[in-house]
Amino acid sequence: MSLFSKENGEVFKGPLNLNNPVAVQVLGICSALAVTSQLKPAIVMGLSVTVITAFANVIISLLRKTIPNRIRIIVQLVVVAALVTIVSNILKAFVYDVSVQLSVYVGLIITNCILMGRLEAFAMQNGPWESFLDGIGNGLGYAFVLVAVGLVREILGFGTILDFPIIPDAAYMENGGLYINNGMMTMPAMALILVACFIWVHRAVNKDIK
Amino acid sequence: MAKKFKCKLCGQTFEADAMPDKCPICGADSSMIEEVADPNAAAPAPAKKKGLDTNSNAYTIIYASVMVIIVAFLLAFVASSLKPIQDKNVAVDTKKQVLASLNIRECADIEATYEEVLGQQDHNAEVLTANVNGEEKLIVKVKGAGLWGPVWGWVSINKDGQTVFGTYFNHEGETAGLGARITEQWFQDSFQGKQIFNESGDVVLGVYKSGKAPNTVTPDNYVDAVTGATLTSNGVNDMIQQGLTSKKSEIESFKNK
Repeated sequence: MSLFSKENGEVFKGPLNLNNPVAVQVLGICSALAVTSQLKPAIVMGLSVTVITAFANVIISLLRKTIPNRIRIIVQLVVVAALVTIVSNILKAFVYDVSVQLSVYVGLIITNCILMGRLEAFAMQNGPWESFLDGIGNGLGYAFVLVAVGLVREILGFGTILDFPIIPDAAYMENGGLYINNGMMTMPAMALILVACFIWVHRAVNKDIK
Repeated sequence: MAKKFKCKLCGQTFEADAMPDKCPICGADSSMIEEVADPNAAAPAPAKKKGLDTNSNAYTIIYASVMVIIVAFLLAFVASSLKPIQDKNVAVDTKKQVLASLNIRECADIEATYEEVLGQQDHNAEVLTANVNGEEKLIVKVKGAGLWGPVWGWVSINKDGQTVFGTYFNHEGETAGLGARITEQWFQDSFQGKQIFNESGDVVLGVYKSGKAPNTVTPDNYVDAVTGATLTSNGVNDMIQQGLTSKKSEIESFKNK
């Protein structure tokens, strides 16, 4: 089977759209609420999950024939936990302010249901290359929703994109304008509502999703 | 090739090329005779399977042990090789927090600004002296317990040993949007200009819910607590009072210097 066959293409594209882990399977909601108040942590979280899912998938896929069946979940957890610890250390060393902002949520990637789901459902049955594509696809599908929610929340909640102000200063209430940032958007509850809106639009466009 | 047969009546086994009509030993008819598998032919299969038996207890235990050892070495290696960079980041972050207590919140080069204002002092020290625009300030580090975990901060004091110049507070795990708001600037700025000691020399600087402050303190002595975060605010209150009381003599000698 060639590396970029149609089946592999489906493995990669499925989770981006019709099988999106957040919008369709409704997994990983907890972290999607917690880290999306601004765009930068959302991007970093999305990338971290993508990298960890892809590499955990590859490692588990390579080990899948040797893993003792009775401790397979523990083995998966050990692999994920090791990867998460490494990523967390790298974040602390190179993007310290983001790692402070993500705080416990990097550690909680370990319990992210997307990861365990992909490892158990896909990597345990498929080869390393397919598993890698599946991991990247699911990670990006998750990251895409995070970035979309983070973008809306940062624009409406802070009036900025990646800390770059997009609403002119003069438009603000304190400077005599009419605009005021929506503080609600910075609260986790609004992320839930935005994710729900995202799912609504997604299902309205793709009517075949049940 | 000769096959093996067993007579169920007499229990003897014998070899023959095909199913015999009668048992050659006891004479029972063919319905009592059954073919038995050749033990030599069957033997290699289970032996081969044993090498790959991933469900045996020994394999499981060895697998888990080897895995844990590999992962442990890997993590130890990563952690120790990244530690110097991480420590530097933590140091810069701490210096940033100390500077924030002096109302220096926006600065391009934290290391340089810290050296300019505080010189070579250890940023982890309990008491620091600083020089902000020619005025001497005393910074006292305070530590306490919030609702979910530790809270800490720095209180900078004017030369009179009585008026708060600025504060900075941080926390480990207070509730986002409630207790975590003690890190916000409006709360920390509300301490500016408050009086620390009452007439008898006790620390009365505190955090109270509006309208709930005891009669012994004046509005000059306390700030309003964060709405919805009473327990974190109480933690900050206790932290400031204990921290400043324990450093009373340092504050006194700073004042008289």
